[in-house]
Order: sequence, then structure tokens, then C-alpha cells
Amino acid sequence: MKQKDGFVLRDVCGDKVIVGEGLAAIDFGKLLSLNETAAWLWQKAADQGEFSVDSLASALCEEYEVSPEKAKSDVTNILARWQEMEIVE
Amino acid sequence: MRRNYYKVGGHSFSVEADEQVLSEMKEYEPFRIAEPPESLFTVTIHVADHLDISYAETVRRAPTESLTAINGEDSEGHDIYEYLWCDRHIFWFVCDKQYRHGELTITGLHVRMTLDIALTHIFRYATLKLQTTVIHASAVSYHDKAYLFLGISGTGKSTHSRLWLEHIEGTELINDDKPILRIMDDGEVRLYGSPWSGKTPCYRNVDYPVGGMVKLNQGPQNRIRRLGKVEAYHVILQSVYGRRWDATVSTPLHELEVKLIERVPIWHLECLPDHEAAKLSWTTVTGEQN
Repeated sequence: MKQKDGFVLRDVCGDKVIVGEGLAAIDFGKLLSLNETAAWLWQKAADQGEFSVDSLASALCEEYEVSPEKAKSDVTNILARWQEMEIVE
Repeated sequence: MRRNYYKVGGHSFSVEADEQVLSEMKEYEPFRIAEPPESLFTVTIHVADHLDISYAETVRRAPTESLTAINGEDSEGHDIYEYLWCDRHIFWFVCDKQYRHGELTITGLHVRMTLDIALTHIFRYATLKLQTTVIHASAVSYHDKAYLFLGISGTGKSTHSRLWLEHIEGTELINDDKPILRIMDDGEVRLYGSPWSGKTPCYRNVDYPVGGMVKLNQGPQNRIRRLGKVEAYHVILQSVYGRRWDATVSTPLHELEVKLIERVPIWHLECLPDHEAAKLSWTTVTGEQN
């Protein structure tokens, strides 16, 4: 999986949001709020380029004190939301 | 050729063209000034059927069914803006990277529309670093403050302004389409009238501190609520145009937009086109009672 072109993480008074700014995302029109974990994962996914549930879950375990099962279920939920919003492919 | 000077949003600029073209700029007259010590940008207008120009197209849009707008960049980094009506050229607009100077070539089709499109284009980018932007809104003044009504075309921004004018004494229209928002050096947010007012001829050279903004949606009832920061940001994002695919534009725009929502309250009004809707938004944003 990878992030679609043109989606940018922005800080709005401390809240993290994803907006469509690039040419491929001009007509997105929506705005997606991310909690701290999701924002961290978005950045990690950008660093990884090509990513998966497993690659992000293991990154999450390295950074935060969280069990592998919990990490995997959190990542799965967040990725499902991103897929639903069509900001990853 | 003659050169006229104008001041919009507190920023001076000049337009050089022949008399006939300048005579089309009647709605800019309230903004005419004597030659200022400094101009932020200059625009020179030529009339021609053709322009030899080669550039790479970045994006192509269709603002209406018969119009095509093309953004691009040439090999020297000039910003190119080209407009077509059906398959005929309306204009080519070539600006330097810093938006200090624009060369506008017009074919004679839709001259007034061309002048507005080209001048808002260069104004938008030349003033961005000076904490200024063009906002899509209808704006009124009331007791020395400006109130903005936002929303996509057709949601009733102009209608809501008209309802304030009819039912709330002391209200005046500032601009009905594209006023100017500016964050001053002391942090105050001010709204300026502009020569760009859409279908309503209202070209007033006035400015006021902003008291609040209201995003409108048509609905079965009148209901208003204050928006949180993220919702307010989304509203502003939809009301301010800029080529956000270019990070040199999207980043300063984002910073400006965040400052706006930190300083100005933004509300959401679901409304009917009636008297009660105007009273509700008026009492809410001004804090006054019936």
C-alpha cells in the first residue's frame, strides 16, 4: 500500500489534519482529522513509501509501549479509514 | 499607453494600457490613487490575436462549460495563465516568479472579465507574503465591523447580505463576491472592499476590522453554532482560492488561514432565506439583542 499523491498533513492549532493539496488531490474537498497515533502513522507511512499493516504495526511497537496485537488492530482500523477516504492505494 | 495607479487592500499597483482598455476599468475608479512611492506590482496590457509562447501545462480547469483555464510555467520559471472561450483565446498572462510584473495579452474577447481574472490572479500571489488574500464571500459592515458570509456559489451569500440590509438598521454592503482579507502587523484582521464584486455592482473602497464570519447552508430551519478550529479551517480552505499544488503557495496560505481562525470567530448557519435567519445570525455574531 502507499499514500496517494497530493495529500498533506497540516497542523491546525495543534490538531492534525490531512488535506488534498496536490494536483492529483485538488478535488478532494474533504478534510480528515487524525489523532496523535494516526498522525504519527501517516508520517511513518510517508517515510516507508510502500507500507503494510505489518510494517506499520511493527513501527508502532518500536515507538510506543503497545502489544503487537493491539498495534495490529489499531493500524488495521486506521488503514481501513484511509482506504475509505481514498487517500491510500 | 497610459499608466493608472490603484490601491486595493492597502496595496498599491499599476496598470499600463491604452485608453480604450483603461476605460473598461470603471469599477476600479474608487480605488484610483496618485502615483505612489512604491507599487507592489505592475501589469502591462497589450492587444493581439496571437502570442508566441511555449510552456509546460500544469493544470487545466473548466470554470464554466465554455471556459478553459490553463496554468503553466515556462522554461524561465514564469507563471503562465491562459484562458480560452470555446476554442478561441481570451488572454495570455505571463508573470515573473515574484509577481512584481505581469504582461497581459488580450484578444478583445470578454475584456472586463479578463481584467478581473488577471488582476485578481497577480494580486492574490503578490500579496500573499504580506498576509493578504482574496476571499470568496459576501461582506457587510455593521457598527464599524465587517461580517462575512461564506459558502459555495448558490448557497445564498448575497441573499443573506440582502436580508441584513433590509432588516438590520445600520448595515451596509461592502462587497458581494471577492473582498480582501488582511492580517495587519498588530495581528488585527481587516476586511477591504475591492473592484471584484461579482454580479452586484458594489465597488467600495472601505475597510473594517472583522467581527465574524458565517458559513451558510440552506436548510429546513434556522440554526446556528460556533465552529471548532478544524471545522473553521475547512470553511476557510473552501473560501480561499490559490494554486495549492504549489508548496510555495500552499504553505503561506495555510499559515495565513490558521492565523485567521485563531483570531476570528466562525459560525455555521443552516438557514431559510427569511428575516428570522438574518436576525439569528445578527444577534449571534454581534452579540446584540432584538
